[in-house]
Amino acid sequence: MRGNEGRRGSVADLLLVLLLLAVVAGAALRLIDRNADGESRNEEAELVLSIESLSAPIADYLTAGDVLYTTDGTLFGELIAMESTPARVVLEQNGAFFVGTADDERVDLRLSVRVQGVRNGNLFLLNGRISLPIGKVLTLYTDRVALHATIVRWNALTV
Amino acid sequence: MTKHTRHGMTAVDWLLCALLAAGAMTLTWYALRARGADAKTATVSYTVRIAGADATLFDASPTISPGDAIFSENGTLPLGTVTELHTRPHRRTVVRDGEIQLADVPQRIDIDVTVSATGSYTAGLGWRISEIRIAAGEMGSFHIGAYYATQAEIIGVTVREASGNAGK
Repeated sequence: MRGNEGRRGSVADLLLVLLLLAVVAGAALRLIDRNADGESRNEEAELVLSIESLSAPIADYLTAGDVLYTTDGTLFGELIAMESTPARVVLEQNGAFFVGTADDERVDLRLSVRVQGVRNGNLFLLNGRISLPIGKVLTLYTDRVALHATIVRWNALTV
Repeated sequence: MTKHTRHGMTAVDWLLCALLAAGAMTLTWYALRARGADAKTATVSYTVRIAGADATLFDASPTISPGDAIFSENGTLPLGTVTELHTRPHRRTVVRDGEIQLADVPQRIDIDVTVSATGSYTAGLGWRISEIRIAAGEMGSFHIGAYYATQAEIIGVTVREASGNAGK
């Protein structure tokens, strides 16, 4: 009888030790991961995005201070400024090109977004994970709006 | 030496039980959060623009009427009920007399269909109806009444009767 109780006790002790080891290992891995992806080295940058020929009523939903998210709900950044101009149209007729802004229902937008990430040479990595090269098209969301925007440039905000 | 408490359990047994319970509660919390248990609900009204539809399809019979249901692309997910309908001539930019102008396209119309439904909000994931994200600027295909709209664009979203602080 006593032997069984002793065995049960030592099995429970072993499980407890394994659980504690798992907790310590999990914490260590999280710390390593955080250091690896550069969260602790994050810096702020201003990302300039361009959106062409956006429906004007949709642009009206955007205001400075809006928070932008990626498709999976990851925080992307904060809209700090936007500039709207009538959408530019280029048409071709009989071999000649015409440039104008006839459609008053569409606008071209320039958005300035404050993001956090890591600089790596000419590259900027959002939260150290997602590369944000010039020319990349991003799908971003506010609470009400979906945007398909092209990265035009980025400027470091902190040194 | 192992010291037994009442019920024949040792202090280590109790500690192990407590750890396992804590682990189970953490897992449950994560699972509920992933399923949007903290989502808020409200009446969501949104407008879908069908641009350049064939006007003749709407002449003969009421292809879309207020009260009609709207469904997702595959026709299985309900996305609300039509509350309003507005049509106008479809316009395009053309070159006329050497200048870019807007011109009506014959036999083509734009239809703005306003729809109302109960949606749920989750921070970062926005408003959803039947798990479909409703955001201005999203393009998609919808079954609206007797009509199938391809590449229609959501041009407006309004939230009413929001519970909590999700609806602005």
